[in-house]
Amino acid sequence: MRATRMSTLVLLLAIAGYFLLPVWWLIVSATKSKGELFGGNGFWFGAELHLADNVGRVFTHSGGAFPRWVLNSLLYSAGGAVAATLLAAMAGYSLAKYPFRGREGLFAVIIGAVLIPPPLLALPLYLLASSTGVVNTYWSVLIPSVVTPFGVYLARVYATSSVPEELIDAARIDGAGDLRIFFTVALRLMSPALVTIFLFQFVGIWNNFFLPLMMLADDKLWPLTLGLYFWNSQLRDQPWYDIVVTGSLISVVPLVIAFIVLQRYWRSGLAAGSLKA
Amino acid sequence: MKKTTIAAALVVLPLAVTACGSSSSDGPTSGGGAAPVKLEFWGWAPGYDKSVELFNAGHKDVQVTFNKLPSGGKGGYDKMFTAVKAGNAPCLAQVGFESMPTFLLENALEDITSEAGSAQGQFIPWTWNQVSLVGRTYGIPVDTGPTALYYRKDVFDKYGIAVPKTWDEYAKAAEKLHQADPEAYILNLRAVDLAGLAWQSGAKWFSTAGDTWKVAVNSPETRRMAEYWQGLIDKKLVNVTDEGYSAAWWSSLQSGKVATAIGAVWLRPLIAENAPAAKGKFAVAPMPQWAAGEKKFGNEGGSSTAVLKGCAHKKEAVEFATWMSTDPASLKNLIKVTGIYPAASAGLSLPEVDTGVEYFGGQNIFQVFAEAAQNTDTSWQWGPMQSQFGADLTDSVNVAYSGKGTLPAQLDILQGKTVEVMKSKGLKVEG
Repeated sequence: MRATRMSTLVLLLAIAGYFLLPVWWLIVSATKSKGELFGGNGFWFGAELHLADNVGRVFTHSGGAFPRWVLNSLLYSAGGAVAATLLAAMAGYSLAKYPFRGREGLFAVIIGAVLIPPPLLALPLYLLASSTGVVNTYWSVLIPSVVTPFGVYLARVYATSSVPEELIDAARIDGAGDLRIFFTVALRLMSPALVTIFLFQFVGIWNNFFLPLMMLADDKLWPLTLGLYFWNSQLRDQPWYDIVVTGSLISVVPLVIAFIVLQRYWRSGLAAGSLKA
Repeated sequence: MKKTTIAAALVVLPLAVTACGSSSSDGPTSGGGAAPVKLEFWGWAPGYDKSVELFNAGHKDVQVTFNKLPSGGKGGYDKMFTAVKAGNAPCLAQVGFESMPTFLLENALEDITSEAGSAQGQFIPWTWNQVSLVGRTYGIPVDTGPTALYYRKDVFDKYGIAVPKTWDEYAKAAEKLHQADPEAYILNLRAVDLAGLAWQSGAKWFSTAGDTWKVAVNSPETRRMAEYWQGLIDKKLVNVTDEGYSAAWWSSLQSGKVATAIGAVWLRPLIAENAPAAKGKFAVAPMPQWAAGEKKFGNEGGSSTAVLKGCAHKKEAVEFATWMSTDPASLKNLIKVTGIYPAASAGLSLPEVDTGVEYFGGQNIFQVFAEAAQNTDTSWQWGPMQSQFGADLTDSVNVAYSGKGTLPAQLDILQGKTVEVMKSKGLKVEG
């Protein structure tokens, strides 16, 4: 018994180590000066800590572009995820609670859309944005970001199981309209699922790269992913390794915070989606 | 007019460019003191924005906006192609020499022969060939990448190795070094070095005659180069395990375990930045020659400012591009911030690129590069499907490096593959 526990523990530690090794490398490398980056042990700290130095350089490099990209990413991710969550909740709730002709067909189409990788849609979206003139504006990234077929799916499944018909009927008898029932009753009952959708969408937009790459020409509108990629793409000609590495480390911090803060809801939301389907 | 330009023949896949929608460059045409012509410029090199500012300050009738995008091979070119298709393309774009024929095949370039013709005399002759195809011009050269031999003076001195003037001497130096220190190698030979080495050897991998492409990746000139390096690989005198610019690549140069690097002029600040501990230990010598007393050189890198399809203000676009590449103030900025080596002949005598460099022990390394730039083989031309070819070249070379084949044999395979790929795109190919 003890032996199995020990071996399980060792196995899990090995797996954890395997996943955390790149993160560890990133943390260690972010504390190094440029010269040390290419000398000495890659997985242990150098003689001096240059983290503060590096962070300072990241934030002032290219005329302070980095903080602007951070703000843009937050705007795209938070704004897009909030709108996407609300839309998904409304769509999912409608699909769950209002029988109408073609409902299952519509739902099947939405589920089908889950299977389409978003980068595949970037090009058609770009052509669409070009002809409507929103290309190279905040809207060109925000508008496509509010669509989440997976969110609709999750919201429908969750609404079906967690918003009782009786409750809706009771609210109707008390004189509440449909909108009011949705906003005051359904939304609250669905909140674990909504947090899950929000997090999924937040992470998705935060990591989104291809869409902004296509849409945005002005680097003042870029999100972090594009900015870091831009710096990284220059490495052959410009020795910016230290700021690329440190910038990458900083760029994951908001995601870590979002996960830690919301993880309780995240877990229950995930479980709900998987079990009550 | 029997002007069967290759450009026309190339366009086997018309991309339905709707020229009407080039909104980005549709400033109101300047009539006297009217609103200035507005041009957009896409590129990635740092410092370009500063040159644009300088231009805008001195020109009231033309105003340029510089927008950044990831470098060409990392998505920048694809973005440009897409924008051309959508009718959103900027007038001006940073395009590497190696990609100009590719842009032409994608029907992404404007013919600026009549607008740019008068500027030709200001540039090093071979660079003009890099922006022209079959007598038509599509861009203005900006910079070049003349190559030289970066070597560890301290290591050479320590083992009594003389700086090699020919490739034969270089092979002997490799042997001597490796015998003296079994852990030391003369070079980390990278896949990307081979094109420049073939160029120096007199190869012409691509050329055009009428509307037909000729591919000669395994020509005798290339073969002698490939056999030479295969010989060194077989004797385990060069290191071929690294693709370059990795942490290991830099650290082996910094420690001196790799004693030389074949590199273009733009490697100079990179070595200084990434191998700070080797300060004062590096020096630069002309590339070894195939025969003693020869002066033949290849090139690695270099770029142009191209005028993209759909540009409604070609004259102004050419005016800006020429200014950026030749104006002393702009060049000084580009040399300092971007690290370019000018393609404009007059640029080579600017004090900024004719001076001792502290990192290299005060050596005026630029004299070496100036000589190389002016003696670069003029007839080298890149192919029309560069991203595919570049990837295929790297693949082929890596097979040889891994010991599963030899460089000459891999070049034979690459030759066949390249011809086949170009034919499948509908091009007329001889090979």
